[in-house]
Amino acid sequence: MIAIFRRELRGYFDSLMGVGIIGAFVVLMMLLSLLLDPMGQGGDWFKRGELSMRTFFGIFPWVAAVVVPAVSMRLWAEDRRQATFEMLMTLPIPTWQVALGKYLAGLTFLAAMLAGTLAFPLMLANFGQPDWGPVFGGYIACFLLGAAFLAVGLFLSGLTENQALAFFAAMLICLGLVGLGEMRGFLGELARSRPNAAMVHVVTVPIIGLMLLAASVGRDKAVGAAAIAMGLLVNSAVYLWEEAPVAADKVRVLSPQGEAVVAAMGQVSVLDHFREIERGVVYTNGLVFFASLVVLFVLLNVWSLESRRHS
Amino acid sequence: MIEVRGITKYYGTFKALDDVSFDVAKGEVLGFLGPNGAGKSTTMKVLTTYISASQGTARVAGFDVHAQPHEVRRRIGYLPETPPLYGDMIVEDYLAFAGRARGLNGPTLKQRLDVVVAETGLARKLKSRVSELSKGFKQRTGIAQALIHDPEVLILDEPTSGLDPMQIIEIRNLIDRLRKDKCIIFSTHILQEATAVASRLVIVNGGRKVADGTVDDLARQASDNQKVRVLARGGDGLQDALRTVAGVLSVDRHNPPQGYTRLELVTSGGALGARAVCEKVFELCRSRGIALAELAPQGMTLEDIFLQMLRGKPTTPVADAQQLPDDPDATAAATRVVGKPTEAENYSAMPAASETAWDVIDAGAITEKARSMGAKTETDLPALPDAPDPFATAAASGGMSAADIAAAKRAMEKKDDTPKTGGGA
Repeated sequence: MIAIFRRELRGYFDSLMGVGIIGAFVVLMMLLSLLLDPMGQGGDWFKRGELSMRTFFGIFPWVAAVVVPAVSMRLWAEDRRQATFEMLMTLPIPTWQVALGKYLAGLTFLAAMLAGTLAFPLMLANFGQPDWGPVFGGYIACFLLGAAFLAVGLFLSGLTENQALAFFAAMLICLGLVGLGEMRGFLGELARSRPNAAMVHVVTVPIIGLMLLAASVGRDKAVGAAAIAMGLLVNSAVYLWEEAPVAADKVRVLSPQGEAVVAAMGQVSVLDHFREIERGVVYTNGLVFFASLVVLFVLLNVWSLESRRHS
Repeated sequence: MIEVRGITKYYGTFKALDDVSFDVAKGEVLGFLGPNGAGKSTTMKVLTTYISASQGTARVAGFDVHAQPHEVRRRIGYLPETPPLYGDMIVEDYLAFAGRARGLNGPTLKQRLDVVVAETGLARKLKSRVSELSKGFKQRTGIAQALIHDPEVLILDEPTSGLDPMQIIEIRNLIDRLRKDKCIIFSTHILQEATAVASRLVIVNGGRKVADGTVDDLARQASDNQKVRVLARGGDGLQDALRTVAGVLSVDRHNPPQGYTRLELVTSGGALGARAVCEKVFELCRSRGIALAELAPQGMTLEDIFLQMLRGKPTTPVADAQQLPDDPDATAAATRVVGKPTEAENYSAMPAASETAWDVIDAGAITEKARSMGAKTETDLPALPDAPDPFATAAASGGMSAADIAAAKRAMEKKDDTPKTGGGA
């Protein structure tokens, strides 16, 4: 496993691409942190005249959803393309160790990327007395989030020999994971006005997702097509089906089940856990959440590669 | 060392391997022969545990490939069809990685590195980037990674494909040096390649095993079957009529000159059988009033046997080759039984690397061309006396002048289409 880890890490730093990704990430994060104001703090850095890392941590999940797939895309896809895959799969090393070696190399690279942005807190320390608690918590949150995204990327990289495809698929899933938290408000609203439609969405979307996944792993095009067709049909059909209109003066209250569903979405929302840890509250719930995402996707990766032997 | 028992592999509904069984012993070099898409690579992938078979079992060094893949992987060195190289590494680092990945480290790794670098002649290229190596050196690096842990079993998938003749010879010599204490399987689609180093051949086609035997077995078979070339004016229906002649195994139609029919018969019963068939063909043509332009018996090369197997034509089992030395014609026929081919022959056989070459390759022409290039044809049959050059024999008996011989050789090289009267007519 160490041999694989070393080889992969070299792969990152031997090529200019690795250094390029780090450089681009640091510059992007710095610029966005200074120019954006997603947290509504009253304008960008120049207007506000005050420096804080809140913008940095605020935008990190979205930036990571794009940058981390670029780190993970080569992990397996490159081997799949150049026949070293055959060598790796016939080495006397269990596949899970090969996958883990690759994953840890990616994680080390991710840590290097984050280390590159340490210039920011150092700058803060130069100007004044920053509150180190949130800065520390924020970096831990970033690392955990990145680790989870990296596992997603590792899994998708193992499904294809096309790096670009691995990148886009991983990016979509990561953006989806981040977006799910933002979707909660919308779904809560929907659950109040059209509870049946909301319930259908909540139940069918994960099933369709699983079918699409099975289709991409098992290379069964029919399953994928059926999943998309079924998804379109069911999810649009619920809107044709008339529900009793809600009286304007009577706001419906969510049923206990509805509340539970919305709460569950909060639990699987990456963003909520990220914010909790970022606030400096390192709680077990969040750690378990990110750790289970990592374990799930690394296992999926191993399983998908092993299942190729029997296809 | 390797036992393969009835392995079948489906890719979806496509049957890539159909009930293939064979054994390879220690010290044996098995040439795994067949055209592209015959199932060679699939078999190797099953043996290396890269994929699992749909049915059947295989054991490598006593371990089952399905039940104990880890144990199998520790004991094999595998060169896939495309060498598994990381282009961004230098050769030395790459080989060190391959060693570490197989559990070598410290002085053991250093010592094995030195050994494989010496064996594969990579010393000058250790500091080169893998992506900048020539094809031959890439192939050697691929072989070096397969050897780094000194495996008991070596599985090489087309180790010589795309290499130039010098590189092919080097790889061949390397396999020859390694054969002592290992069990080696290598695949190729070029017959000469396989006969040059393999002690045994397994021929597969369309996922099925069509032949399994030593080179000598196949050579003996080659001397039992003979070819007879027939060129007749008109000759409609002759092909069907000849099929019924006793001693004829198969009849093939070839491109004739305008107005003629050119057929190639495969006969059993050695040279005597071929001669009997010639007489019958002559009688048949005379009774039907067909003008016979050429009727020439000739020996079959291994290449002919090989092509016949790939086309699924019958061949007689290994039979009484002993009768051959008694027959004067047989010695001439036997000169075309190619045992170990010469470098020149291999060079001329290179076009066979293309997939479409199977039907156009003319082994007789290759042998003749090789001879004209100054190579001597060795015969691998100890029972046969040294075969004389048929031209030299003719010259010694006073039948031909030196100028005649030169003209005849030129004519054979040109392979012209003008009808000429052959020996048997």
